[in-house]
Amino acid sequence: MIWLPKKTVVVPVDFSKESFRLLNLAADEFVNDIKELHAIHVLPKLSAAEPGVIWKTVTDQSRKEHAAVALKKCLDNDEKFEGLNIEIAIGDPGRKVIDYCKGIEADLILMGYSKPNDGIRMSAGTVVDRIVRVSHCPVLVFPPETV
Amino acid sequence: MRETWFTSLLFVFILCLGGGTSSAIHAQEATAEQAESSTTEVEKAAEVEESIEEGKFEDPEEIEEQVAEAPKWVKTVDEWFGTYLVVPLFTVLFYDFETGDWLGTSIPFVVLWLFMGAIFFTLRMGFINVRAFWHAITITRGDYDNPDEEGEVSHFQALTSALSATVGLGNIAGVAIAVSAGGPGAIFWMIVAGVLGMSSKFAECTLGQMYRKVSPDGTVSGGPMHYLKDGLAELGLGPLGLVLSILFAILCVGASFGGGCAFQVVQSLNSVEEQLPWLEAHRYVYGLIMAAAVGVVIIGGIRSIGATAEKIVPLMCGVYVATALIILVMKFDQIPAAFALIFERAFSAESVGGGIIGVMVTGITRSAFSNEAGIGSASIAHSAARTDEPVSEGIVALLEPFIDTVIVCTMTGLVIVITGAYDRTDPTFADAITTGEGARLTSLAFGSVLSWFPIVLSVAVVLFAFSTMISWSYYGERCWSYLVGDRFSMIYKMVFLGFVFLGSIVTPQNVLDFSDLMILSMAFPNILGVALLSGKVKRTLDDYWGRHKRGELEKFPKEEKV
Repeated sequence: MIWLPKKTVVVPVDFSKESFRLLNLAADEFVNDIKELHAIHVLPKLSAAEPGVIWKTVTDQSRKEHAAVALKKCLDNDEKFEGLNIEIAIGDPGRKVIDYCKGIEADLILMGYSKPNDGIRMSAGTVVDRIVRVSHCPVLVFPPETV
Repeated sequence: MRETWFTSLLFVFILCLGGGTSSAIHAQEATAEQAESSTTEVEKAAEVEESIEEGKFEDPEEIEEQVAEAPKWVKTVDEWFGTYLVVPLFTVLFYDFETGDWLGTSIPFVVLWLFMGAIFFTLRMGFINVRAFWHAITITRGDYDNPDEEGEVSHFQALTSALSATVGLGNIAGVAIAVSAGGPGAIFWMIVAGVLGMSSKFAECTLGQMYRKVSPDGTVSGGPMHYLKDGLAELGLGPLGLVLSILFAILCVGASFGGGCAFQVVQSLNSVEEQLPWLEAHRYVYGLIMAAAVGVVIIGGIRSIGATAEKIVPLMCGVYVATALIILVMKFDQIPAAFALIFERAFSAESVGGGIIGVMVTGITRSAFSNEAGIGSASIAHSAARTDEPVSEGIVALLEPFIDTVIVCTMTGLVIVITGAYDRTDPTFADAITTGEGARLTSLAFGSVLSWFPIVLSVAVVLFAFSTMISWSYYGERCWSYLVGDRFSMIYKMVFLGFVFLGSIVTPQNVLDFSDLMILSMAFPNILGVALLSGKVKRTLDDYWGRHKRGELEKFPKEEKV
C-alpha cells in the first residue's frame, strides 16, 4: 500500500457485519499507512410524531450518545481501535458522509457495496453510488464477497 | 392446525379475486333506503315538508345544487376519487359474499373477520380484557416502570401517544354516523365490539413489543410489519409472513391517507363550517391551512407544535367527556330511557340500518374505526414503551379501546340519543344526517343543550384532527420506511399532505368509504398473523400472570426512578 502513505481514512459504519469487517481491514492492513482512522455512522432523522420525540425522552444528543456507546461496544474495546475517531451524524447518509469527509480533508473512503434489492433503490441509486459520484476523494468500494 | 389457517388464507385470497358488484356502498345505499322507508309516520313527513317550505333546513335538492355550484376542478377530483379509487377498492376489499341477497343485510367480510377475531382472542387469552383491567391501571400509573429497561417512553406515555391517534373524530363524528345510519342500537354493538376489542389490542401490542427492533441509537421500531415477518418465520411460515407484512404496510400507508388524514380533514371542516360559514364556499382554504400546519411538523420538523398538540389531546378529551357528563346530568331523567332504547334497538328486527344484523355491522365497523382494535396500528406506538415485559405493555394497551369506545363513544352516543340527533325527520338534524357530516351532527346535538359548546367542540375537533394526522403520519411513515427504506420518506410526506388537501374538497361519503376500506382492511393480514402467533402470546401471558399472582414482578417506587 505504498500509494497510501499516512492518509486520513474514513469508514462509514452501518452496524452491518460487512462494515465492521472493513473497519477491521483498515485497522489491520492499512495501519502503517494511516494517519487517522475515522468511523462515521449516520442516523436517520426521527419523525416529529415519534413517541420519544413527543415526550422529549429521545433527543438528537441522546441518540448520538447511545449510538457511540453501541459502536464502541461492537468494536469490543480492541486496542487497535484506540485512536479511532467516531462521528455520529443525523440526516441523509450520503450527504453527511460526504460533508464529514470534506470537513476532515479525508484522503480515502472505504465502503462495502451490495446490489440494491428493490426497484426504488435500483432507480434512485444507493448511498454508495452517491458517495462515489460526489466525493472529493477516492472511494474504495468492496463487493460483499471480498470483504 | 396449520391446514386450518392455510384454508383461511385461501379464503382471503378467493375473497380478493372474487370481485363482484355487491359492496358496502350498496349496504350503505340499502341502509339509507331502509332508514327512509322506516320513517313512514305521516305526521313527521308532513312536518319535514313544512319545515322545508319554511326554509328551516335545506332539502336534499338544495344540497345537490350546492355541490353543483362547486368549482369544476373540485367536482372532477371528487368524481375521480369516487370512481377510480373508492368503488374498485370497495368492490374487492369489502366483498360481502352476496349476503345482502340471502340475509337481507350486507355483511362485509372484514367486519365478520374483526368480530370473530376479537371473540377468538378473548377466549384464547382467558378474558384478559376483564381479569387484567385493574393490573393495567397499576402498570399505567407507573408502579412497574423500570427506567433502566430498553425503550423510549413510559407505559403511560406510550398509551397517551396511541390514544392521540385513536381518540378523535372517530369518537365524535364516527359515533354520530353510526347512530344516524344504524339507530341507537348501534351504540350497544359499538360497546360490545370495544370490550372484545380490548383482547385484540392486548394480543397485537404484546406481539409488537416481542418483535420490536431496538436501534443502536436507542430508538425502537415495532409493529405488525415486524411481528408478521419475524414471528411467522419462527413458525416456519416465512413466505406467508413476508407477504402479510408487506400487505399490512401497504394498507397502513393507505389508511394513513384515508382515516388518518382525509377523514380527519373533512369531518373537522364540517364542524368548523358551523362557526365560519365562509368556509362552505372555500373549503380548499381549510385544506391548505391544515396541509401547511401538518407540513410544518412532519416536513419542517418543528417538533414542539406536534408535541404540544399530542399532549393537549388528553386535556381536550377530558373537556369533551366533562361536557357530555354535564349534558347527561342535566338530562338525568332521560338516561334510563336512553339505555333502554339502545338495548331494545340493538336486538330489534325493525331497527333502521337493516335489522339486528345491519345494526351489528354498523356498530362493529364504527367501533373498529374508532378504537382500531384488530387493525394493528396501535402496536407501532406501544412498541416504543420502556419495558422488558412485552405482556405488560399489551395489558396497558387494552385500556385503549375501553377509554376510546366504552367511555368516550358511549358518552357521545348517549348525548345523541337523548337529544334525538339521530332522527332524520327532525329538521335540526336531517341535513347533517343526510350528508353524513358526523362531527356537525354531534355539534348540533351538544349545541341543542349547551348553545356555547359547538365553538369549544370546533376547537377540540380541529386539535383532535391535527393530532390524529400527526400520529397517523408516523404510523404511515414507519410502514413506508419498512417498504422502501428511510431515504424516501419525503415522498410519503408529500403524498400525505396531498391527501390533507384532498380531504377538504372530496365529498364526506367518498372520504368515509375510502377511510373505512383502508383502515378495516388492515385487519386481514393483522388478525391472521396474530391468531397464528396467539400460542406464543398465551404462553408468555401465562408465565407473566403466574409471576404477577405470586408477587414476583418487581415494583419500582417513584423516588427510585427520580
